[in-house]
Amino acid sequence: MSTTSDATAVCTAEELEYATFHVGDVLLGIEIREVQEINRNLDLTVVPHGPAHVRGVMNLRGEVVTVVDLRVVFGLSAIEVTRSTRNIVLSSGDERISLLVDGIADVVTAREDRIESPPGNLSGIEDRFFSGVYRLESELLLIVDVEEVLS
Amino acid sequence: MLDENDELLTEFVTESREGLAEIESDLLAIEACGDEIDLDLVNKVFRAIHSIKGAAGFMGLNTVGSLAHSLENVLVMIRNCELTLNPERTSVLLEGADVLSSMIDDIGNSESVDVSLNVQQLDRIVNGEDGDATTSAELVESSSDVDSSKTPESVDDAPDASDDVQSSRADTEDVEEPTYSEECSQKTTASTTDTKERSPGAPAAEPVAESVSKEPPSKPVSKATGESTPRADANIRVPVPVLDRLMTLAGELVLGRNQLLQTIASNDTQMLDSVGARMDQVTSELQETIMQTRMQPVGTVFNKFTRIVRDLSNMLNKQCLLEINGKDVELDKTIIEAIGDPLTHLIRNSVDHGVESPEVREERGKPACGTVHLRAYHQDGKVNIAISDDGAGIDADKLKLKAIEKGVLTDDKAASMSDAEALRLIFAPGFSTVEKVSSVSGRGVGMDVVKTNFERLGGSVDIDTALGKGTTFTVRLPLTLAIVPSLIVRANGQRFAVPQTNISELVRIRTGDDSKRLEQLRDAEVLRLRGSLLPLVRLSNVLGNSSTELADEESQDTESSTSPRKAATNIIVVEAGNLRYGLIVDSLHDSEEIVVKPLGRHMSDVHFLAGATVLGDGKVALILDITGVAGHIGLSSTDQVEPVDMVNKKDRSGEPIPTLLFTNHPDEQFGVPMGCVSRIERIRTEKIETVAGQEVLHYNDRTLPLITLETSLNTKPRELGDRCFIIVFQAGKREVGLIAPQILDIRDLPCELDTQMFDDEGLLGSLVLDGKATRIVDTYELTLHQHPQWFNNVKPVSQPVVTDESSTETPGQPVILLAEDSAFFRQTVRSYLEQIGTSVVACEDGAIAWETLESLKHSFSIIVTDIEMPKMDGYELTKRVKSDERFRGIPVVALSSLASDEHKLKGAAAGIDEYLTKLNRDQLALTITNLLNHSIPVNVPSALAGVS
Repeated sequence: MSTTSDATAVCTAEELEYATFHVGDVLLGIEIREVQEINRNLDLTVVPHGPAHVRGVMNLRGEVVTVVDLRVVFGLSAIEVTRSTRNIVLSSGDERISLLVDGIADVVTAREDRIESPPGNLSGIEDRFFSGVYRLESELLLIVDVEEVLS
Repeated sequence: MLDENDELLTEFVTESREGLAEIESDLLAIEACGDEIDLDLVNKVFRAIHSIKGAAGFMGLNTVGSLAHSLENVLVMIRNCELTLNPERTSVLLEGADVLSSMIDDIGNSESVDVSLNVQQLDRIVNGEDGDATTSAELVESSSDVDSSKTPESVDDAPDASDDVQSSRADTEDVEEPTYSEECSQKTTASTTDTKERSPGAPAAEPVAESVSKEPPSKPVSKATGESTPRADANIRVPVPVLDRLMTLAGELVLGRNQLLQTIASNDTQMLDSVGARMDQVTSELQETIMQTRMQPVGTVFNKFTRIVRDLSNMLNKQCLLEINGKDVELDKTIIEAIGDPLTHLIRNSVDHGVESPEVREERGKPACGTVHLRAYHQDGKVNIAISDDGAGIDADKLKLKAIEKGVLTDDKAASMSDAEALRLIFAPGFSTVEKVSSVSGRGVGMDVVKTNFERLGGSVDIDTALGKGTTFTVRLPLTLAIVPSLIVRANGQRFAVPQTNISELVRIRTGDDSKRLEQLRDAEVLRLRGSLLPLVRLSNVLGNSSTELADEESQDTESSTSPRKAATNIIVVEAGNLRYGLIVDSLHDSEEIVVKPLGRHMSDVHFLAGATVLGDGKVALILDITGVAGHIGLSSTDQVEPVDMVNKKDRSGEPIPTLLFTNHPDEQFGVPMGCVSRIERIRTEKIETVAGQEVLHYNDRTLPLITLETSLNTKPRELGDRCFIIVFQAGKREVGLIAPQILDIRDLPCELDTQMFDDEGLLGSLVLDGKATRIVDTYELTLHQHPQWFNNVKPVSQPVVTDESSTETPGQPVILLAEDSAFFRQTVRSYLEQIGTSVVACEDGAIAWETLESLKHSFSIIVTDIEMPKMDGYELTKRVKSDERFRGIPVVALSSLASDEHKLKGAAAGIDEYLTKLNRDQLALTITNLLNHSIPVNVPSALAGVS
C-alpha cells in the first residue's frame, strides 16, 4: 500500500510520480505532489441538500473537510464502502477536499513525454476529467484533472 | 525600488495607516478647540504626517511625500499659533489626509495620483491666501466632492499651478525639515529622536500596549481602490502582556500533555481525573486569552463617523453633532470589520432622514444643531450599539401609506397593523421613505441590507421612535463569532448545533397533550404557546431524504416522530430578527460551546447551514442557520404578523402576568406568578424528609424548608408520584420551597382576578382558565401564615409616623400613592405595601393618580407607579410630579416589567428615584422602607433597621 511517504523518491525533470487508485475498474492517478494524505476515515457527516457528489464532511484533525464521491462525479453510482475504500486528501484553493475512491494502488513513475492526451469516452467517463493517459504494461493509467473534478 | 523593498513598504503602509487612523477625529478636535490650541493633539497629528513624509522620501514615493509635506506646513503654522482652523481650512486638511490615506492604501499606484490641487490648496492656507470670501467659497465647493478635485480640469481652473512645492513653503522657523533623504538617514540610524516620532525603520520600538491593535478604519476606501493593497489587514497588534500569558499557557499545556501521557502509560485512573481537570482549565484559559487577542474597541469604527456626520451635515445644510460613548467596548475583529458599512448607513440615515434642517428645528422649538448619539454598551452578554437622533421621528401612518403605494402592504393589513409593526416596514426590501432619492442615503443600499448584514453577524436591529422627538436604532451584536454556545439536537439520526443566541425557549409536549397544543392551521402546524400561535417547522422535513445511506434510518425516524409511541415532542422556539418559530427535533443533547468551522465551497448553496463544528467525540456536526431554515421551507416573517398581533393586542389590554400553573391534587389547578419564583427543582419524592414536623429538602449542604398548600388552603391533599417539583421562592431572607406534585405550564394570564370567590389567606385570587377554576397563590402570605416566626425581623411600619394633618388615612401611617392599570398588580402591590404598614391610595392610571395628587386630599410620602399605563404613563406622571413645586420632594418608585438599561435611563431622565422590576416583594418592601426611613428620619421605628 502506498502512502505519501513514498513521495520522497527522486524526481527528475521528465519523471513524474503518480499516486494511483481505482474508481470502479478504471485505474486513475493524481500527481503525488498534490496529495496531502491518504486515510480510511469513513466517519462522515451527511450534508442534507448538499450537491449529489458531496458524500459528506469529515473531521481531519479539527478541520472540516468536504468528501467528494469520485464515482458520482464521473456519473457512476455512488461508492459502496468496503474495506478498501480510501480518502485521498488534496489541497484545493484555501480548503482541503477529500476524494473518496474504491481503492488505492501503487505509486507509478511516469515519463512526462510519454503521457498522451486522453482518448474520447473511456469506460463511459467523460474525458474532460482527465489531463492525459499513460500506458502501463498491463493497463492504462488515466491522469485526473483535479481542478476539473472539483469544479 | 518598490519591488526590492516589499517588506519595508508593507511596514510603511501599516505604520502610516496607524498614524492616519485617528487623524480625522484629531483634526476635528483641533478645529473644535478654536483659538485654544491643544498642543499635544497638534503634535500628535504633526508627528504622524511628519513620519509619513520622511519615510516616503526614503522610499522614493515623491507624490506621497509632497502631499505630506504640504500638510505638515499647515500643521507647523497651527503648532506655532500662526493659524487657527476654521471649517474651510479643516476641510482642506481632511481632504488632504483622505487623499494621503487612499494613496497609502494603494501604494503601488500612488505615484500616478495627482495631488497638485490638494497641495495648492494647502499652500494657499500657508501663504494666507485663503482668507477672502471668494476663495473660501470655492474651496468649500471643491471640498464637497473629493473626486472632482482630482480631475485635471479643476487643476486647470486653479489660478496658479504649484510646480514648486518647496518655494511656496512658509518661512516659518527652522523646524526639523531637512530634505527627505537627509531626514531618513537620520531616522534609520537613530530610531528614537527627541520628538518621539514614529520611525518606519524601527516599529518594534513602539510601545505596543499604547497602540493596541488599531486597525485602519478606512475600510470603504480600501475597498473602493481595489485589491492591489499590500495585505497589511492581516496583521494585528497584540499587547505584550497578553502574549506573555499565552506563552505561559502554552507552557502549561505542554506540561499537561506530558502528565497525560505519563498517566496513560502508568494506567493510573485516579490521576487521570486531575490531569483532565487541569487540561480543562488550561484549555479554557487559553481559549479566553486567544479570544482576547482578537478583541478590538469599537472606537476604531466609531472614530470615522465624526467626519461623516460633519461632511454630511455640511452637504445637506444641516447642523449636526455626533456624540460618541462607549468607544472602549470591545468586539471580535471579524465583527468590528463587518459593522462599519451598515453602521455608516444608519448614521447617514439619521443625519439625512432624522435630523431636520435648522429652520424647521427652530420652528419646532429645538436647538438648531441636531445631535446624533452613538453609544456602545454591554447588555445581557451582548454588545448593544444605539444610534439615536433628536430629529423628526418616523411617522408610522406615513410608512403604511408608502408601503401600500409600493405594494408591500394591502389596505386591510395596514389597518390592522400596530405602529411597532409599521415601523418594521422600513426593513422591508425595496423600501425608502424619502420622496426624492438623495445622493446621501439612496446609495442602492436599503435598510433591509443593513438588517441582513447585522443578522449575518448573529445580531439584530430594533427601531424605536417618537414622532417629533427622534428615532433610535439599537443594534445588538454577539461579542464574538468564533466560539458559539449552542444546543446540540438530533434529527434524522444526525446531530445539529443550534446557536443559543437564536433560542428563546424549549417546549416539551407530552404525547397526550399533542392534540391540545399542536394545531393545524392552513396546512401548517402551529403551536399554541401562551395564547399566541407559533408556526412549527419539523427539522426532519427540512432535511428531507438527502442520503441513500441513511434512508432506512430516516424513514424509521419519520415514522417514530409521528407515531403515538413517541414520548414527547421537543420544540425549540427560535428567533432570528423578527422571525420566530418552533423547530421540532427528535431529541435534545447537551449545550456546548462550539468552534465554528466553515463548510467547503461545494456546500455554499446550502443556505440552512451556517457552518460545521467538531464535537467532543470527534464527529462533525452541522450548524443550523435559523433564518436559512425558515427560508428553506418558505416561512417568512410576514407569516408571523397574525400571532404577533394577537400578543400585541393582549398587551394593550393590560400587561399579562406570566404564571406557573401546577396541580396539587390532579383535580385542582393552581398558579404562582413567575415573578415570585426563583427557580424550580425536580426531585425524587423520597428525598423529602420530615424533621420535627417540618418537611425539608436537603441539597447542596443546605436545608430548604418546604410548605404545602393543604396546610393553609381548603384543598384536597396532594398526590405525589415518584418525582415531584419544588417551586423555590424567596420569603423574607430565606428560600422556601412549595411542593408542587405536577407542573402544567407557564401561561400569560390576564390581570383581572376574582378576589371574592376564594378568600383563604395565601391566595391572591382566582380565575377560570380553560374551564377550570384556578387559584393564584400568594407565596408570601402562604409562608407568613404557616411560619410567622420566619418573618420576625420584618416588622411592619405600623408605629406612629408623622403625616400631614389633612390626611384622611389612619393617623400616623405613611400614605403611598399607587398608580397601576392592572387590577392584579394593583391588588398585589397594595397588599404588599399594606403589609409593611403603609396605607395605599390606588389609582387606575397616571392621569387619575395626578388628579388624586392635585386634589391634595392626602399627603403622600411615596409614589409607586407602573410605567406602561393608558392615558398617562409612568414617565409622564413622574415628569409632572418632579416639575411641580408642591410634589417635587416626593420620591417616585417605578415598578415595571420593562427593566432594560434603556428604560431605566429613560426613567432616570424623567426623574424616577427608584426603578424596580415587577414583582419582587422583598425588593419593594426594602426600597419603600428605606425611602420612608430617609424622608422621615426622626420617627422611623428601630425595627426597620433589621430590614435595611
